[in-house]
Amino acid sequence: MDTLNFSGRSGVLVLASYAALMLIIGFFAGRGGSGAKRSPKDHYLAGGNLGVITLFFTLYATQYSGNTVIGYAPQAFREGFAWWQSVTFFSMIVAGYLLFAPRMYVIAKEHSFVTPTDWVSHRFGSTPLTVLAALLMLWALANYLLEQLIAMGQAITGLTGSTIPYQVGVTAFVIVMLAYSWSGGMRAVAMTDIMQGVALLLGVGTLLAGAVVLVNDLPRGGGPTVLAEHPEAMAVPSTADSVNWVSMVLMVGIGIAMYPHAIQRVYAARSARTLKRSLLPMVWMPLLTAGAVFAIGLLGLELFPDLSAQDSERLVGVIANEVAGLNVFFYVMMILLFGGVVAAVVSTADSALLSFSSIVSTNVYARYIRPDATPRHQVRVGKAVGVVAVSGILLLAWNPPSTLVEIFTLKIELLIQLAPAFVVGLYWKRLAAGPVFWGMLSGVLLAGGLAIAGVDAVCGIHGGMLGLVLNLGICVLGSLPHRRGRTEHRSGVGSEQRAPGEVHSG
Amino acid sequence: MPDEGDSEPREPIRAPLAWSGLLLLVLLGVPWYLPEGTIGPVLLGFPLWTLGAVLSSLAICGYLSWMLLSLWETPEQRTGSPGESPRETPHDGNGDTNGHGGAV
Repeated sequence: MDTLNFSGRSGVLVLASYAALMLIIGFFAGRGGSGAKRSPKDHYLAGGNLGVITLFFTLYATQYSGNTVIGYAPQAFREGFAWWQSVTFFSMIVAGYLLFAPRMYVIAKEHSFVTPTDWVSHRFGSTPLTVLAALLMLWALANYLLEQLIAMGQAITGLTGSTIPYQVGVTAFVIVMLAYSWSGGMRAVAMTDIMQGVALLLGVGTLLAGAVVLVNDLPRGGGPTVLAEHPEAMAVPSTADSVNWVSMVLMVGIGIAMYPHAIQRVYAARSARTLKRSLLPMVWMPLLTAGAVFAIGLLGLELFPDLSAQDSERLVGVIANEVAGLNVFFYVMMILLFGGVVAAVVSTADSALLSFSSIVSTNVYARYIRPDATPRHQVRVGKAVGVVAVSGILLLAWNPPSTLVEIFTLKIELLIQLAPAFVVGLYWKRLAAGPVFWGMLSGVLLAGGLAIAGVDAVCGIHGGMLGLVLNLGICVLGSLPHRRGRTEHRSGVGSEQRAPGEVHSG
Repeated sequence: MPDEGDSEPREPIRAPLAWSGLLLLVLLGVPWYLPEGTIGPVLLGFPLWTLGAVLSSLAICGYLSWMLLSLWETPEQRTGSPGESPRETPHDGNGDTNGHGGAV
């Protein structure tokens, strides 16, 4: 994206405007929340009082990042129609929510959960399991943050024509993000998500419209010609690729719903009815977002058939350059699009950061380090943790060691290992802490081991899915011998001192 | 595995047949049933299997909407109240964990 024709001063102006808008929204959201600075629940869950529109947009902004535009269009360009799977897997995330959200919402409200780890300690009462689950979540969130910060830096550099250097751009937007998250917590994050979501939707829609205009203007007269010129893009994939397609749909569907910030949005809904009404449009959003991005990728094949696989990474920037040249309207919209991409990245990063802070301050600091910490003190610690964490991740984003990056790319494969604790744990009374701990650990080791060995999939099935099958098997077989008993543990600070092998069966 | 009983709320996870239907729709959208490299027959400029994949995605969206609306009975629907949050207890471990919605 370092060759954008519309980049430069106007890009700097748009980014500055977006940043100012985020700060203003964050400031007013912080003022609006009566207890935003008092309790963890107010700060991290907006008091559990998000309405339909805000909840919908914050779910949307959490699910769709700037990466969805910048990264997925080139993927469609390279893989052809097989990448339509992205539309299906985004829809299936709602199916992932349906596995646990209806029941989890009710229990979370009854027991004032703040983080997903609260459920694990409440249900199983096992310190080792709670710590393992928390570590997995923190790992995934840190990974997610790193990815977003790198994307943010690249988008800023591209939009401003390198007027703003990578490091300066990322640091500036991280400060903006920290400022509004600090003052308004989840309330500010959710309110800015509305602006960020609208900007992304409008930008993607305009880019698609512009790409269609460009294709129709081609000398050969338009019409779908991808089939004639790139039959391989429209050909049926191999059996292993088809299996991989199904595996991907299931893994993303379950795995993304297990993101800590996604689960916290379930907690943050004003009512179950609100949650239901917010998830309903989320079912259809993949068609408007991932579907539009997929179409842009395929149109890229028509517009730039000679782009190499490596150069295709710049596809969105290359198409945007052409679209911006159509007329003033498209020129302005393309600047807004890239501003929207940066905003979308920020909106995804802020949710992950807030979730990271909440887990450390609530589940680690207040439980193990300072059990007598007041709610206000916990929130202050969480804010400080956020600053420290994002600073460390920033350093990694600037100079990422290659081996670390390979390990760090694991997130959904590991997160999905939480599913038995959250889904089966909600409904099966016999599920015991010991088997869940060993199952989760085995699933993580299998998925992680395969990734480190460079094996993405076995016969098309992702390592994460294989890990989940192993995990589930251990959970079920290990829990069968245990007698049926009360399954929820009365959560209380200092009450969970069981070894992983010990089972809480009431 | 779900608990049985008339007093339990209606939840999507309690409808295994519905999940089987969803899995079927996912499988129908993937061209595993055709040999690798197949393109034809072509309709409206696109191979038929690609149209099948798009139709499958549309069907999945519609099906998930139905699951959301029909298989999820919210506490508000059960009690007839207009969107109140369930009763909350302090996060101190003193609440009855086996109360409404907590029968797990």
